[in-house]
Amino acid sequence: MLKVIERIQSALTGLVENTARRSARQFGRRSALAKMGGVMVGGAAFSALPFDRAWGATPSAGDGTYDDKSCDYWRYCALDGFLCTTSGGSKSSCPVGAEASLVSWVGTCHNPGDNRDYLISYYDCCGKTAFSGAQFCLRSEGERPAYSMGLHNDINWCMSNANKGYHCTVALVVGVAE
Amino acid sequence: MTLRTLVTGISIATLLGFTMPLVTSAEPQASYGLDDHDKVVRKMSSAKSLYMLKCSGCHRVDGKGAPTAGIPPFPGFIAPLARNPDGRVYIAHVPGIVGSRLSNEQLADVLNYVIDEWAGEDASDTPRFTVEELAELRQVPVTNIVEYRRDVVNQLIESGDPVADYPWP
Repeated sequence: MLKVIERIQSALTGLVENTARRSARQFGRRSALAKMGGVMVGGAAFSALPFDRAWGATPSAGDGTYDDKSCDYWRYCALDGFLCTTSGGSKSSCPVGAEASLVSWVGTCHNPGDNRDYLISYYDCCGKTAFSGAQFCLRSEGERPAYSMGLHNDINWCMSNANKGYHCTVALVVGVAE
Repeated sequence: MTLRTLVTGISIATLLGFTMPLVTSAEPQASYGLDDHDKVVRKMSSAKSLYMLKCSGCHRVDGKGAPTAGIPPFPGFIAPLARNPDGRVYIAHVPGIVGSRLSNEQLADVLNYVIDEWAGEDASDTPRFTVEELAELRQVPVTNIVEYRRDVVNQLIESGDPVADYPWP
């Protein structure tokens, strides 16, 4: 029985691979480049518009290095998401009714206070709808684009939980980067 | 000039417009950026810190992983895997290792930390990784990691070793 399942799986893998290769031959890179060109022109025009690219992030004029409700807070250097400090929780605990994700994103942040680098674990709080008034932050320093999956943080870490709805993100110090 | 040529021309101009300032402005940045992050990681030598940074996000601080999400636990399973020659090849090719961008020295330290921490009473019989061995293992071509794992698992089952639950058969 196991052999049969294995054979079916291997056939499926082959089928998917063949289909992908065929479509890659049919829809060449050039047509993709032409389409990307169009997107880039659109993107260029878009970024020239007076458009709030920070998605409502706190302006960096004020020094938020030690304000845990500001995106500039030193621990948030690799954070991508809503701040739990503005969603009824704290910088290290989920709001009531939300549970921490099983898996998380870990980055290093420099604390200018003592000039050391710390390991920060960003757990998502799950199982509750996001609060519309919450502060959104996107810093993700040290991450890499999606083609380098292991180093990419644009991910809903609640996917590992039974309740996959994303609420907000906390930032725990889990060690010193030494 | 066809529309397509025009679009391509504008795209190239746009690309240049975006990349040129990056190339020409060599002034030091005041903010703490990607290069600084890389420097911090490159200098890290504590196996525990490296585990925390690169592995604990998924394998978790206690090494128990999240089996339902496809991250098998270490305790009880890492020793037999690391004692099997193909298991060692597999370990050298798991996504966390391949995508970590750590040096072989750092990776060998992290893997040995995992064995030290979670091989339990089998730790003394489990060979550790040397930098040279790891460099060789990483050269072995593994095109389909899930398929490769399936073969290793079959070997472990045959030798009567425990195998962790895994959602992808």
